Amino acid sequence: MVYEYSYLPLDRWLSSLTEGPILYLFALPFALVAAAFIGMLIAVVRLGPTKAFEATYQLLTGSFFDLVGLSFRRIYAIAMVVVKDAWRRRIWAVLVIFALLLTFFSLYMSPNTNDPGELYTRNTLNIATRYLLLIVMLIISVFSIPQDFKNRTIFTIVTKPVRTAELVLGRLFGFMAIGSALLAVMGLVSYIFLYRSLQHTHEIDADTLKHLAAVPTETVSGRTSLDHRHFHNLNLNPTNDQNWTDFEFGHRHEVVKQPDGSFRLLEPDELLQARVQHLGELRFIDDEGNPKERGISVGKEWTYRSFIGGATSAAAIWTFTDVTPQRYPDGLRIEATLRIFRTSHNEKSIPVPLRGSLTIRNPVTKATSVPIRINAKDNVIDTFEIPLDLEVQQRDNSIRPGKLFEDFVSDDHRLEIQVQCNETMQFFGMAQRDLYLKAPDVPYWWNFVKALLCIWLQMLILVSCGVFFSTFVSAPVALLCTVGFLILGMSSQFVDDMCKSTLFMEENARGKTYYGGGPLESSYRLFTSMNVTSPLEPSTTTTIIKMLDRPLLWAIYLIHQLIPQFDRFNTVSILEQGFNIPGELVVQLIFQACFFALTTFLLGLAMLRMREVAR
Amino acid sequence: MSSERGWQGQRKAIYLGLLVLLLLPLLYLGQPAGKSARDPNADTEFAGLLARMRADHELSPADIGEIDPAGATMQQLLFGMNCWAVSALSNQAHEQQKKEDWDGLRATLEQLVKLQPHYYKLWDFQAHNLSYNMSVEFDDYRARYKQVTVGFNFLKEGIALNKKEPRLPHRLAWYIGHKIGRADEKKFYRRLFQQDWMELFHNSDNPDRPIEKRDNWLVAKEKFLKAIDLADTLEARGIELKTTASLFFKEPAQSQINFSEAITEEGDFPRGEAAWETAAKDFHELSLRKFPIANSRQIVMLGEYEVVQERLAELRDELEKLLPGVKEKLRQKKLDAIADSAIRAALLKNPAEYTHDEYNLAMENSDRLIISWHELADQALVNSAERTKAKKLANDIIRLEEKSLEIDILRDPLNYDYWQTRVIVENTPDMRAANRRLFAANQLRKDGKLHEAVKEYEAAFCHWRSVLNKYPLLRNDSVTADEINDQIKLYRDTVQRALLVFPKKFILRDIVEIIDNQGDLNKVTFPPLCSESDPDEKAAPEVNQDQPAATTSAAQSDPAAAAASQTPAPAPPESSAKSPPANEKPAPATPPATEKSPATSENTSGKSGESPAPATPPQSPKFAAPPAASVDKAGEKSLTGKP
Repeated sequence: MVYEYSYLPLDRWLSSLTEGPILYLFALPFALVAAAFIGMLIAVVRLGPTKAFEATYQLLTGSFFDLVGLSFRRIYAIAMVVVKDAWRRRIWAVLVIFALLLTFFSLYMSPNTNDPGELYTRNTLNIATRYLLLIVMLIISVFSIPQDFKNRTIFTIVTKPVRTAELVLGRLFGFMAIGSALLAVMGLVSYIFLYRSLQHTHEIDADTLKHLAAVPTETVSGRTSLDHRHFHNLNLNPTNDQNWTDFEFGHRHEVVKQPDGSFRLLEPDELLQARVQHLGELRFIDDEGNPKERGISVGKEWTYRSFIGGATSAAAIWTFTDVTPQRYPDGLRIEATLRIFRTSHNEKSIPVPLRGSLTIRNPVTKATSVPIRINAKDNVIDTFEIPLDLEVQQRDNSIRPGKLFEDFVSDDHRLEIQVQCNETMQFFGMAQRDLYLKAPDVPYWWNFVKALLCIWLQMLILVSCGVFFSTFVSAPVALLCTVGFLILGMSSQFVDDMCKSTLFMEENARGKTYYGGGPLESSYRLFTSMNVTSPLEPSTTTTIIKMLDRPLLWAIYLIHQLIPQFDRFNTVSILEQGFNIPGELVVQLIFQACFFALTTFLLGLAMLRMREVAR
Repeated sequence: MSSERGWQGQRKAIYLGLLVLLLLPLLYLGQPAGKSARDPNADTEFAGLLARMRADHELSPADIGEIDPAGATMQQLLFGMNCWAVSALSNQAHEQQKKEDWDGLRATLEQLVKLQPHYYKLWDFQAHNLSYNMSVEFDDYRARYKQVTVGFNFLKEGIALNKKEPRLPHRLAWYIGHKIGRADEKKFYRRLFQQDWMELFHNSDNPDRPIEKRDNWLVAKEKFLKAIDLADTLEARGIELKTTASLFFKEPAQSQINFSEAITEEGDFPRGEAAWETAAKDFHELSLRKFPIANSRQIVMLGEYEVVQERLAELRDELEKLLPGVKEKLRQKKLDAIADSAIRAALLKNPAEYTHDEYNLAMENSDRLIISWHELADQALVNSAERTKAKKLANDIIRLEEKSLEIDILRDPLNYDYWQTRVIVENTPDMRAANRRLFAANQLRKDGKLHEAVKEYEAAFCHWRSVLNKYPLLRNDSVTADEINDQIKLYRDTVQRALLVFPKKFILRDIVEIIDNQGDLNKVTFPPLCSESDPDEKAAPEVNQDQPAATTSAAQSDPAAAAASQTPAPAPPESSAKSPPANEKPAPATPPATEKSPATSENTSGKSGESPAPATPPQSPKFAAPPAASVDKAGEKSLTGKP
């Protein structure tokens, strides 16, 4: 699965008022003041204004002193109690289930898929590790405090010199310690499982080798032995020390010549890797030469990519920043995955790849390179090497020699890459991440650790949420609320689009309109087996449904704004695609998760203090 | 207190008793099958009712197909929530397909079929989805082919798990045949399939399959035959086939036909001709296959239609001879009984002269003049031998008419008449010659030898004319018309590129007109060309001895006129001005003694049943236009002389 979310570069994120830390720093006091105000209003209704004010004052001051007087020793003690309790409840059984899941996956995962690395990583890390861990943590985090109330053990705890804040934090840290331990074990086992499942090699099948030329010393072609349910074709040149097999099933093997003249295949290459992408910003030019945010739609349901028509002015232009000679001393290496959409093909065009061109451009001087011809390979990462010496195509179409960094990179280190399709009635499709400048790979294990860290952050959000709810409602209700939060967070994009589409009648950026109305209208349609696009018959029922739906949708919309976009944290999809999880993305996610945990902790503290026992 | 405790004890005892009572029928129903000491082979000797029923109806997993332990475990682990899981996985599969996550889709489908291993529609739908919908998402034809085989291999898993479902091997055969052999990429797919590229199919299916049998249509035929074998075995055990039988059993013969077509098209004529002979045999076998008629004890064969029709004609004739003139009298009587003179007049009128109202009137009342065979038989003298015989004849006629109708219903969806004719035609020397000539023409065209190509095309079309005249059914068929029209287009293009003129009175102009009129045969002029009875056609070569140069120069000087003159329709005034005068009827052509054209030899070949391929192609352009007036005249002729 493609990671569909975009994120700002770190410098822009830091200064952003809508997404960055500034927003959070303003939002935190606002959230606390809003919560205190709502709490006071409720207290006014229940106790009258004087007592309500008094209670709010006590709550706020008490919470403040709680925070000031936090003792990490006591927090540690409570956390250890949580850990011991979990161990007593045989939390390790989760690891047995995890092992069973891995065994089960190996029954239907096949190494002869297009990209086994992607499939194995997803199932191992995303399903077995992430889902299992989150479910377990969800359950233990929401049941703990309510169970203490139910068993009255809370009274024993509060009689000790323990502050309420320490009680909440201790729980949080305890759960996170359990989760971290589980995640560490699962991560390690997953990593070993992945390597053990995917690492393989082949023998060269001598019977199949045949000479391509009459001279025996020339290149021979053949195939490898059948291992891991696949084989590779190869062309071996005995005079070369290094040869490669073909690229199949998401990898290839290097063939090295042995001292005795025989050949040996090494471990698979490009199967588990972490390509570092230097991403640019994508914009489009339509076929009349006008700038556009997106290309055209060719009717695909998935609107992640948009398309440009061939043999027109239409183009996709990526602008890259920070392109410096220090970063790319040997020239640029561009990697691109272009999707192809043909409106016609025939026997002659079928075996011929779709032709296009790639042009390097200076965004300031508009100096343009001679177009580099590309033969697009659909669904495959294609590589283009851009040397340091690059010819410049001048306005009169004459060509002069040029230099990459002098002619094509602006003074502020920006560079543009333009892609066009050259064949009429055919289309190239692309999204922002489909073309990038390739930097040296990072070790796969490090990328793996970053993916685990993002799972850990999801766990933090979930546990904070669970602990928060469990401070003021019973365990089943807390479970339901947390699951509700989880669903809202996981489908944040859908909820956002749906609410905006229904409440503000606006189309989202992906040109998608949602039908079917709010929760009541959807239920009505569901029970009456009515499709989502037909308008409801004008009647009193319809009016009531529509009237009630708006506040409900508003409520969903507002709650959704409070929840972190859970799917943004799922960086396993980047890992499984073989790309490096960008550090700046990880930083932003860490900040978001910690901020959310802090907010829920403070709110949870207030909630628990409001309860009789914890004052 | 003690009495309460005693009551509680009693109540527990009652509950326990009830539990035991309930367990007894459960034990009776659910007792597993065990071996009998008397007959160790009889598994169900001591079995409970459910086990016996399972054995009787062969419903245990082992009876249905191979046992899948992973799937069975998964189903058990879900504790009856399979439907939820299936629903979630189906949604996931849809989402993955939408987001082009092909590996994820395959993995999800693997899970889905483990939950529903015996659901035919799932296997069929998803195999189709993989082979057809997923493959086209790739641009490289090799990647597409790989995905196509993913669908095949997926369906093979389903076949292994459902050994009593003949529809699955049938679907596999269909996909192998049609996806490989009918796709736009068929030229490449067929090659990759034959080579077993990346060992994606044959090596796992049947590694011993010889290379010459690795044609997709032959493999399809092999699979279709297996499906038929399975269906026959199951039918013998009383398990009905859950699909249209005639379509199901037709496919091996159809695959053989498709194979013959494909290799003929590829120019492998020795194998192609042998394949067509096999196709004729296969079709003959199909014609002898017995089909039971639903809700009837009748069994019919597709090939007995003609015999039934013949016998029907005899019986009708016999009955009418037995009661001479009775039918007419009866009809008159019925006509007299119609009081409304307008209806009577409408029924008596020639249908060609109907007005709209008369037509409606006649249609509404047409059954008032129908005389049933029983009605006719009843006209014989009561208690006479003649009446008994007439009754018997009427009964026989009705029975045979019903049978004829049943056969017709079976034959119609198969396009039986067409294919029956086609396999006969393809084994005729004329058709074989036409195929070879067309292939040669296309090769010459590719090599740039345009004049030679034109000659070959014309020779091929001449053979086609002969075939179409002998088998008019083919001419009226849109498939044949399309096939020939494709070649005509190539011919037209070749003629243009060779700077020649497309003949105004083209030998296969009826085909062009069928295509132009979208199959409306009423608007088509059928030319009995290439026959000795048509002096205009014979004149064509002679008229055109010098025509190409003249027309070429005309085309150079006046492109519009030249373009107009290249249309197959009757010549417009501009082009007719360049033609000989209308009253100058060209002399009948005499073909060179050494070059007896296939056109002129058509009648001879018709008699002998053999038409040797012409040794030398006819002179080019052979079928160019005579004068405009004679074109019109010929058009009239051919209308009246419509075969």
